[in-house]
Amino acid sequence: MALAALGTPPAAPPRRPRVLVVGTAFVAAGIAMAFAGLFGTYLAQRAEVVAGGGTWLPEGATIPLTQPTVMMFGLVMSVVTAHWAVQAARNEDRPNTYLAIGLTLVLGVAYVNMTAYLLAQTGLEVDSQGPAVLIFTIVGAHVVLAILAMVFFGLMGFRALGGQFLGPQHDGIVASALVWDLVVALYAVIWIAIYVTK
Amino acid sequence: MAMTDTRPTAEATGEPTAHVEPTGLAGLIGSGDHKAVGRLFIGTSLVFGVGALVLAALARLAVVGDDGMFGAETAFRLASLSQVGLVLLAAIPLFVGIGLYVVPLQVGSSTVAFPRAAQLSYWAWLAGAVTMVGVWFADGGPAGTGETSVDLTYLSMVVVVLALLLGAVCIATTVAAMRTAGMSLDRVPMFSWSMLVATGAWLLSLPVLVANTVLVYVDTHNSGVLVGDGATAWSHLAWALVLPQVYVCAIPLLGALGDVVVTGSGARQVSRGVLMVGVGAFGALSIGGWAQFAQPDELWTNPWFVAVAVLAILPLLACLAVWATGMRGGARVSGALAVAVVGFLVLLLATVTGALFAIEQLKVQEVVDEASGLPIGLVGHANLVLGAALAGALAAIFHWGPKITGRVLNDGLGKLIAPVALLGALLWGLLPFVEGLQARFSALEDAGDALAVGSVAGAALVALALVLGIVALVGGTRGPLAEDDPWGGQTLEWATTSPPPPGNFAEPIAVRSPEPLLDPTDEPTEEAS
Repeated sequence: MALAALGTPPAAPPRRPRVLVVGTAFVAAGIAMAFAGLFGTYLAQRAEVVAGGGTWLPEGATIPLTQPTVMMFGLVMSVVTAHWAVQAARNEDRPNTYLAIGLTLVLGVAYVNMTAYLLAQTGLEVDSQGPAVLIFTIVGAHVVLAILAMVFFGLMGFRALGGQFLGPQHDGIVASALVWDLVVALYAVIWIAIYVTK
Repeated sequence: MAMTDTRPTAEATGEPTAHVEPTGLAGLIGSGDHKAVGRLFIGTSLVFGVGALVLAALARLAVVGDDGMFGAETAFRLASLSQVGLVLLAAIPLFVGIGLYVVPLQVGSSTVAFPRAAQLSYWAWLAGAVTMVGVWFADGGPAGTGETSVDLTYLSMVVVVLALLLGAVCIATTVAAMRTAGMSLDRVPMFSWSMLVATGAWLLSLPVLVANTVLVYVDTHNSGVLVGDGATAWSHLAWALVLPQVYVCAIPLLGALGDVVVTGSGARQVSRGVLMVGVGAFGALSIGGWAQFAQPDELWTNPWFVAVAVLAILPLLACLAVWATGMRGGARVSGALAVAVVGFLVLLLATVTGALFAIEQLKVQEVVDEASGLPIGLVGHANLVLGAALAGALAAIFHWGPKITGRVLNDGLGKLIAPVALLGALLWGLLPFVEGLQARFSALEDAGDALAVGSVAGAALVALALVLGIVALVGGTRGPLAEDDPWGGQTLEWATTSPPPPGNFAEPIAVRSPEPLLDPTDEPTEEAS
C-alpha cells in the first residue's frame, strides 16, 4: 500500500549527447591521419635509402636513445595522471582533478623541454639533409600537438574549476584525456620508428 | 524600501530578457546560426567556383597551338590554381555550406554542433582562400619566384584545408551526436548520411594533405633536398586533386540525389540499407591519402590504385539500381531532380574513364598535359568528377532552396541548368580524356587543339551553369514565398517553416521511421509527448 502511494519513480532525464567527446574524437582521427601520412613518408624514404645500400642518418648525426626512452616513460606516466583527472572529475573530486591535471601538464612540459634538447644534440642539419627535414617536421609537429593538447587540458581544467565539467558531465576532461592519449600514442610510434630504429 | 534604493533591473530580479539576434554587419560576422554560416559558404564558394572554371578554361586554352598561348609558366599557374580552386574553394566548401545549413534540420537538431567553430571555419577559409588566390596571381603560387610568396601559398593552403576540416567536424558531430529522439543512424536522411560519409573521408584524407604541405614547406623553406621546389614540389601534392582522392568531392551528390528522388517519387525509400552501404563504399574507395607523396608517374603502377579505379563504379551501379526501383511508380520531374540526375550520370561516366585510365594498354597515362604536368586523361577524369559535384551542389540548392531563401527557386531555370551542365561537363572532362588516347590511337594526334578548344567551351558552360545557379538564388529572394513543405517532403527539414526560425523547430520532435512526415500524424506526437 505504501509502495503504491509512492507511485513510480520519475523517468530518468534524457542522456545529454556527448557532443564535445564525439567532436574531439573526429579531430583526433584527423590528427592521427596527418601523422600517419608523415610516418608513411618517413618510412618509405628510409626504406628506399636503405634498399639502395646507404645509411639513413647522415654522417655525423647521432640520436641517443636514453632521452627518448625517458620521455616515453614520462609520457606513459602522464597517461595515468590524465585518466586520474578523468576519474576525479567524474567523482567531483576537485583537489584530485587539479592535482592530476597539473601533473599531466608538468610531464608534458618536461617532454617538450627534453625534445628541444634532444634535437639540439643530434647534429642533424635541416637545411642540407633529407632525413633531417623529415625528422624535424615529424618531431616538431608532435611538439606543437603536445603544446596544443596541454592548452586544451588547461582550458578544460579551468572550466572544471568553474564547475562546468565535473560529475556526470565531465566531457571536457574526457575529451582532453582523449587528445592526450593520442599525443602519447603518436610519440610511441616516433620513439620506435625514429629514435629506436634510427 | 529605502529612498536611496534604485529600481531593480530585470537582470537583477531574474526576469527573462529577450534575446536579440544581431543584425547587419554584426549579424553577418557574429552570428552563430548555422543557417547564416551555411549561406555564406554557399554564396562565396559559388563565386569562387565560377572564377576557378574561368581559370580552368584559360588553362586549356594555354596549350592550344604549337608553343601554347601564354607560355609554360603561366599555363602552370592557371592549371594549378584552377585545380586547387575547384576542389578547395568550390566543390568541398559548397557542400560544407549546404551541409551546415541542411544537416541540422534533417536530423531534427536546433543547431549545428560547435556553432562558433562553424563560424570560425568560414572566416578562416575565406581569409585563407583570398590569400591563396592573391599570392597565386601576384607571384605564381608554388612556382613563384619570391620565397615569401611560396611560403604564403603553402600557409594559405594549410589554413584553407584546416578551416574546411573544422566545418567537417561540426557536420559530422551533428549527425553522430545531435540526432533527435528516435532517429537512429540507419534512419538518418540520405543527404545527412552522405555528409557523414563525406566528412569522414575528408577527415581521413585531407589531414594527410596538410601534413604533406607542411613537409613541402619545411623542405622548400630550407634547401629543397627532399622534394625539390617549384613545380616539382607541387607534384608531391597533386595526389589530392586527382583519382581517387577527387571522388571525395562528389560523395554528397549521392545523398542529395537520394533525397531528391524519394521526394519526387512520394514513396518511402526502398532498399535503404543497400543505398547506405553504396554511399559508404564509394566514400571508402575515395580516400586517397595512401597515394600521398607518390610521384605522378608511379601512382598508377600501384595495384591498389588500379583496384580502386575499377571498383569505384560498383557502388554507383548499386545506388542506380535502388533509385531505378524506387522510381518505377513515376516521379515528379523537378529542376532539382534533372540537375541531380545529370550530376550522377556524369559521375558514372567519370568512374568509367577512371577504370579506363587504369588500363595500361590504352596508354592514357603516357600523354601529359602541358599546363599542369599531369596526364591529360587524369585531368579529364578530375574535370568530370568536379562537374558532377558542382551539378550535385546545384541540385541540392534547388531542392532545399525554399529552406535557404524562404522562396521557391525558379524551377524552369533548374531545368535549363541540367542540359547546360551536362553538355559542359562532358566537353570539359571527356575531351581531355579522349586527348589522352593519342598514344594509343594515332588518328587523334592532330586533334589536340580542337579537343582543347572544345574543353574550353565545356568549362565555360559549367561556369554558366553556376552563374545560372547564382541567378536563381538571387532571383529567389524576390519570388513567391515558399510553403513549409512545397515538395511533399518526407524528412524533418520540411516539418518547419521556410526559412526555419532560430532554433529550427518550435518544439522537440521524435521520429519513428526514416520518413517521419509519411508516418501517421498522431504517432510522432505521442512519442514526443
